[in-house]
Amino acid sequence: MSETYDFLFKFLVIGSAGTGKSCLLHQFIENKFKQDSNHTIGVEFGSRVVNVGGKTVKLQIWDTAGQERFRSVTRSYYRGAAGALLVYDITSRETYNALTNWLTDARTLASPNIVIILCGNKKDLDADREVTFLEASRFAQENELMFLETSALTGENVEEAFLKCARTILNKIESGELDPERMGSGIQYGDASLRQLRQPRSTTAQSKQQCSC
Amino acid sequence: MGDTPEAIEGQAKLFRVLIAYAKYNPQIGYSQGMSYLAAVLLMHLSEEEAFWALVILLERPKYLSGLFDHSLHKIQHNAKVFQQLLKHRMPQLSQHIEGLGVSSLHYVMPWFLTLFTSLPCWDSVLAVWDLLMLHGIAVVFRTGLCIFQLLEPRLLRMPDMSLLLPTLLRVPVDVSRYSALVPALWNTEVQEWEIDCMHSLVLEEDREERCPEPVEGAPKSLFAKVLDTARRYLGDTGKEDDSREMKNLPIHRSPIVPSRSKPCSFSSLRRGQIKRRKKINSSVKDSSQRLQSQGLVTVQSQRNTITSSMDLDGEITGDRTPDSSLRRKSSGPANRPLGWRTQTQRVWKKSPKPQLNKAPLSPLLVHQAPKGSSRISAPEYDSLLEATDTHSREPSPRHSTLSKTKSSLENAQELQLI
Repeated sequence: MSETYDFLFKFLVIGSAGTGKSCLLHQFIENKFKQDSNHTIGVEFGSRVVNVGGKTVKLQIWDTAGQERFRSVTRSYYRGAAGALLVYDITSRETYNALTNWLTDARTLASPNIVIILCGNKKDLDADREVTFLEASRFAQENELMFLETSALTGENVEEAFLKCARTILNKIESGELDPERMGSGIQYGDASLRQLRQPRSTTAQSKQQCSC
Repeated sequence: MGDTPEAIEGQAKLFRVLIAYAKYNPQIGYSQGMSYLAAVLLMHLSEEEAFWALVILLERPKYLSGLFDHSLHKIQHNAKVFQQLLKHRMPQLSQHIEGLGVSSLHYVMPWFLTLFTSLPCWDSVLAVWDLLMLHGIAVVFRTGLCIFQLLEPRLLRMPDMSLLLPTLLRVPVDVSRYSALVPALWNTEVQEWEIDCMHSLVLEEDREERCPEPVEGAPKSLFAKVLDTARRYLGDTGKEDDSREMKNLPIHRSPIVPSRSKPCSFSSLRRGQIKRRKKINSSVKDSSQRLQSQGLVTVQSQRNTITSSMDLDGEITGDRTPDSSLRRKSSGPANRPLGWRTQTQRVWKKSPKPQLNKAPLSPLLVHQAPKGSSRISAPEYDSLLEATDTHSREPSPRHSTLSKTKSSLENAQELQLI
């Protein structure tokens, strides 16, 4: 049931509504395009174990709702994320313009060392493109983000986006830049005994109590 | 979604209904989740009817009012309420889930915003919707709890969040199946007052979090808090009587308060006690006829007084020790004897009240039995007692068949609906 892995990384997929976040996640986990994708209500969740640079890493991916009104809730998922895919739609300038807000949220609410990769999704719809590759890569450079254009439909660069992000985190761990033991790093060792270190909140005493009604 | 002409027309209808609502109530506008609701309505109603039904669904306090507000406060509050409910009804599972770091908000949000439309079995979705139309928002808690009960053994075996959360977000087919979910729904009782009690508890906890008061004397246990909240909520008027009862009675007796008649289920009482109760009830009926001019309230309070003394009787004869009731409570509804706080109680609760608040969602409720459900005549009342008696003596399996619960009139009503 439980796979063995060296590390567990918490990942986020964030970005405006309709940019294809859930489809990216589906493509990454199931290796196929999600034809009739519905809106995400609140949050979706997926996980996959990948091999990066000789290490097995379990990615625990939180796919958030994109609509503005859900932000107050989705923000609560940011805490302790090690990596994030920041997604916009290359055929919608509006989703590109919103990137700054998303970025601020991610940097302030998740760990400050969060590794973010910018994904220009819907690469297959090149004819309707509203945001050029050059423009977006400049934005990525200015904000110290990695950048890829992806297509959840064809699967192009989807796996690469997740793996690139994971690899960067792993490199940072190896270089000592990231400390997995620090609280809220979004990284855990895969070793079962170490995993136990993360104790659940103490609810034991309360839950024993009975209700009178 | 398909490219057939029907599918395209369907999508266009959905789009128009949602646009119409966004214009009708610009303060709420369009929110993700609404499309799930509007789509179900459009499957049963014309475009215009579906629009008005959506308005009612989103704006009546009985249904989803406030849940689609921009602040999302209410949904977060409801998530906490469900967490409390789970903590009290299924403590072991609740502890396990929290231990894995899964917050109730993760799975409660889609329940409230899409009303279980994502369950993989459509007939079950419609059954839940029928119940929801009838009883309102409490059904969401009831269905949620029911899903947890069905999934409990599986969830307890799951060692981490990456297995548990997807199971909750995408309820497996075997649990969603009509033959599994609906009978379980019948056996899952979540009373409105129970939810209200949890609401108050959460509000109190929020208040305490915001401004922690200096503790007077010993810190209050959660139990004491619940008692307080329940007492306050139920509008405790008979202070003396009730405080005595509160101390002596098993914990789930708190509803014995005059202002809101919630007579206890007596299915677990002994036969002799039921007979005595019948006698008393018949005298209540007599007096009710005499006092009809004074309104139902009088009758209600009389019956309450009697109920209370009966309960004390039960206590003295050792019929139900607090211990046993505690055990029942803590073992969770899965192991609960069926007779305990069954549907019958709800019939009692409804009987002195006028007919249910009917929403003008009639096209969905065409089968609703219009008569005979609001008040119970004397012979019916007695037969009900008989039925309860049999019910309590028969150790029923957890998923009892629908026919077993037919004794309750309200169940009959639900049965017709489903």
